[in-house]
Amino acid sequence: MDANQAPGTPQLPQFDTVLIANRGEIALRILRTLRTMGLRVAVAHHAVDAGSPAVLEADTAVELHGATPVAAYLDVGQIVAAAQGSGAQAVHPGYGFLSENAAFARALAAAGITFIGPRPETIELMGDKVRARRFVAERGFPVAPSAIEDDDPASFVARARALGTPLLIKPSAGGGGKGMRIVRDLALLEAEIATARREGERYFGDGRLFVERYVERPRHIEVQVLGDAHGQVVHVWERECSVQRRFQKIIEETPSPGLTPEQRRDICESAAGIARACGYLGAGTVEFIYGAGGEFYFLEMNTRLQVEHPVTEAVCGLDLVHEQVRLARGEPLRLAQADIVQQGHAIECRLYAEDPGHDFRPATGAILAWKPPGGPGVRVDAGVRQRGHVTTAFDPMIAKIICHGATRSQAIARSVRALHDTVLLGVTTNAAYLTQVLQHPEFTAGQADTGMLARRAAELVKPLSEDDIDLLLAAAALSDRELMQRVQAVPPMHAAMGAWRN
Amino acid sequence: MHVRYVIDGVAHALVATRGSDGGVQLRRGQRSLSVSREALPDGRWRISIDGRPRVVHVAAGADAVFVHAEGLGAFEVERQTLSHATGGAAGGASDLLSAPMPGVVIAVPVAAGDTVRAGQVLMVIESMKLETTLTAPRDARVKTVHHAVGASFALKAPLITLEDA
Amino acid sequence: MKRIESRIDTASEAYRRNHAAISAIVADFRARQERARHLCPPRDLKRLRSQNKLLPRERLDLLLDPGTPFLEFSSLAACGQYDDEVPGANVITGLGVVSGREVLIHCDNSGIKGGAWYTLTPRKITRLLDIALENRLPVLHLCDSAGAFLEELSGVYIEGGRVFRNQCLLSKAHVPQIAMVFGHCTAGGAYIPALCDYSIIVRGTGGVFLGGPPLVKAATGEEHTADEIGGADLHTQISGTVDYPADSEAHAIEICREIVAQLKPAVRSFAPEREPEAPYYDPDEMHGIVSPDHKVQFDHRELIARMVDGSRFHEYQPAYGTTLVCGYAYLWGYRIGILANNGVLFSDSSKKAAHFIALCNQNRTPLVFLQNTTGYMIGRNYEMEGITKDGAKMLMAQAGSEVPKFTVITSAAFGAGYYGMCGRAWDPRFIWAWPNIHMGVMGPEQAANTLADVKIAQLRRHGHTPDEAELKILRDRVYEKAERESNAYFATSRLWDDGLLAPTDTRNALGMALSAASHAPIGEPHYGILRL
Repeated sequence: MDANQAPGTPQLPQFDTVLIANRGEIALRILRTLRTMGLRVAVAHHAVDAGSPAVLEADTAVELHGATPVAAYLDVGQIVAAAQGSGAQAVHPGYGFLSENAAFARALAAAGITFIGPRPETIELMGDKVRARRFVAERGFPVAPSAIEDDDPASFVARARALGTPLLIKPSAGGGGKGMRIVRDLALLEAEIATARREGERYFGDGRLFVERYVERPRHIEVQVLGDAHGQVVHVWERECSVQRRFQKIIEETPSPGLTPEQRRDICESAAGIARACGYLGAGTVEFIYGAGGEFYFLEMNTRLQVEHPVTEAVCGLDLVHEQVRLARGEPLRLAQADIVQQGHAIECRLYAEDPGHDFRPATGAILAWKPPGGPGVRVDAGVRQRGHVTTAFDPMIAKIICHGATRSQAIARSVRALHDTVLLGVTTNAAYLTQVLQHPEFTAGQADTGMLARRAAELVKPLSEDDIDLLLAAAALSDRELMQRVQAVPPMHAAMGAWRN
Repeated sequence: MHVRYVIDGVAHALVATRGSDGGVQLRRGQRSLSVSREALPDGRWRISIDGRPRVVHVAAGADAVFVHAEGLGAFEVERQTLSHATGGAAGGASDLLSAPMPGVVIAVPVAAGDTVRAGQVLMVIESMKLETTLTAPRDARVKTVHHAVGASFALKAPLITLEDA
Repeated sequence: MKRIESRIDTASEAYRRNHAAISAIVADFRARQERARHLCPPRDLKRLRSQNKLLPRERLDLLLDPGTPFLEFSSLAACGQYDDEVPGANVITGLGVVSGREVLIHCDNSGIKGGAWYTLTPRKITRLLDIALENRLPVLHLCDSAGAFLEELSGVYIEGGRVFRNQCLLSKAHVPQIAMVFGHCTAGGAYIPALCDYSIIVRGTGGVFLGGPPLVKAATGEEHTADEIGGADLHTQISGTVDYPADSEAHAIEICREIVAQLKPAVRSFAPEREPEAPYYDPDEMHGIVSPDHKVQFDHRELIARMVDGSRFHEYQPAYGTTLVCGYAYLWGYRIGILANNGVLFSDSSKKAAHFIALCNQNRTPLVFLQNTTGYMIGRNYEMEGITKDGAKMLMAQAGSEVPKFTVITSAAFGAGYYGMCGRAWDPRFIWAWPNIHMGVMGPEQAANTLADVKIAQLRRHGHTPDEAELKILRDRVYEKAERESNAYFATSRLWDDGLLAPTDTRNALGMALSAASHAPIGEPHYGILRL
């Protein structure tokens, strides 16, 4: 019996039914794997998602209620009740929503339902960014030089100043890139700290801060890890996630084009070591900031499945959701580190309903046509269907397009082709923008860092050629019934005379 | 016929006419294009421009058409109505609110000289147990209130006159 | 149908002389027409712009379907009158295509004197409405007029009444009319929108009232603005006199286009029977065939060959009555029966004309008269043969025609020949003249000589015998007057035709006219008594 198991957790739980407490593409993706495992699937959903593919394919659909759709998906009580009501013995939380909510994990445990994820204590540890940093630093893993307010609030500003510029101010309770401020001029430090505190209170209800040395032109490298109930941990190699807009990833790939084999080994083994140190159970990701000089620092650990997990699956030939379920059942890891080998290269592009030409503002509308791309090496994880709607209720991600190739160039070429072939009509998307990024020299050289999109913004806009505009206008005019009716109404002789005047 | 379409925030003016061959001619600035389309079995269209074919996927929304062209990606092409945009006299929106039926004034929350916003309640009238609220059709100033509370009026009687604020 | 074999030698001296002269006349005509159409004094332009108004032709550009033809009538009405300050009689009329429908258009010329009406203005509008009645074509009125030009008040008063009467009869005949009120419709003018089936008014500038602010003040002492007396809101919300309020002129025009699109589709009494075919010979050659001297003969078949489809012509009675060419042809695919003068009209040509007209009426073929005649033959022998009664037969058949008739004067139109060949008074659906023509009771030389003889006799009676020099001055003066009063511009100025046409525009004009004419039904042929 593993000392890290919380009391009351069933030994080697068995389940025949799993409730998915999520929506969109991830709900569908999880459902598909559960089916291959012969499990019954229940999906908890808000009415707004009633027509979504996951709900339609589930064996049981349980409706959630809330003041807003998001509130429904965050309602612990309702979801626990939904699991019980649908006879589920386990719940998969997907990503976002309650996936990193320790109280939720505990509530499920109290109800005798398995939470497919790490233990509540691990969630709490890694959910508190300050605690997590301290835990990692104490065990000898690299963290960015920092000043943590909680250590000694009185000297916080002085310690921050002592770090030197550039600095990054972060909220302790934050995540997802929100509330972070870069300071390059120490004269502005105190004002920026005040602002960051206000934002921390507003977004997270917690104004505590910490300050880190900011790595210029940083690359975001993360490592997938798996841990079983017996303390075994393996890493499943890294993912490069540096192509970001507004601190949100839009293109991820593996292997990272910027690491030497030694650096790769270092980062991945550090990640595995961190996971081992906290007795990690399930699938998780350790995120690092990687600097131009080869230095890397622990950023945070995400105690859940990540959006970009498919690229890892593509090169390693694994189904991570399948592994999650097995690990939640208490089974030991079935692969040794030496067995986990990468083949080829995979890239994921996130298709968002947004307008890159207008500061990426979210777009809404009815989905009039949806034809995902296909072809060798192409995988599409989507949660939309034709005649569905994209609204502002949720994050505007429509689909993930994952392309695998024998080489990085082949993966890039397949990704560009797939994006060109993606037909989504009715809502503006970033598809064209993504192809521009994929073909930009900085990306093809494998040198993208997290500032690339902002820096290269002007080069990523491809103006339409006159021929292209002719085509779009012709297509629109010929589909315009009123217009065509008026045009055809002109009698033939008069049309032949054209604009003649006596 | 004149039409304007907006692509990526840029408006393009087109004149669509019937060609002497019975087909459609599109004039863009100084250029004139002969265009036609042919339906393909998979629901896409082959659009020919001066004989050069390209295949597109088209979906029609409320005021816009979404076009996906091979190798180009998807674009929204929004139709813009011409009439209200171009020249000619415009004296401002309706400035006289008159009675839709005979009745009695039961409330007048505004007075002559007041500045009002579009949608603001100007008067409440009652007729045959039916209350009707009159609201301002645009941002304006109240020029005249023709009847006070309690006054009765005939069908089509002027009730409130507005003027530019 | 065989193609006409042209015998014109384009290298000949005569051809080249003609071509140069006629081309110059045509160029001069086009220049005059352009000037007349676009005259807009700076003061008027400034006023229109300050009122945020479009120019009349800008309104037409928005109204008419792009890429479609517009046949304008009588652009040179009132030329040489009123010191040439009122070109086109200050109104634009024409035949065009709106929302796919063929319609007639009346557009006040607010670009000059605020669109005020002179005596000829309502007469030109009346003519347009007559065309509407005869051809059953919808009428669109673009109203923007300051009312009667004060110095022409009595003339406008009398002529104006006929405009409104015609509007009533159009409505009675189920012919739709739509009015767009861009400016003021005052006094009688207020009836124009009121008598229309549909009316639209532009807020702020449009006004409809029997009396404007000054008149109202004078009559009752009330002081109101034009908008208060008869503006958009009053008439679209309270009085119901006008149907649609528009926020701008472009908006008003768009509403009109939408209304036209809702009109009942046209029912036609005849249609093109073949695919159109351009003439085989070059129409420009017509300039070399006709002489600037109207006394010089030419073969009308050569002109026909340059106007009709494929230059093909089926001649009727080719050996009889040879001073009148009769036959069938196609023009823009429409089958037509052509009567064209090749000289003076004799008994045989008159009888041939009557017979051919009867044939065309029976087989429902529209008639096209190409005029180049100095009249019917005179002389004792001809009288004995019956020239007068044969001319009467031709008049009776022509007047009794139920099929549409179209007339084009290509060189000369004198005497009763002008009548027989369907002159103005005989109600061709449309009548045009080329800019080189001369017309009248008799040719200018003849007129000059006759008048001169009368004047000389008069002088002698008073005891004065003029010498050679005086005679020359006298004859020249009389000749100049006669020439001036018999040329194309004099006639078109007085609305004796529907406009002058460049020879090479004749084909399109006739094509549009045929299509327009097909909107009216064709009755059963029957005639008065033919004095046999």
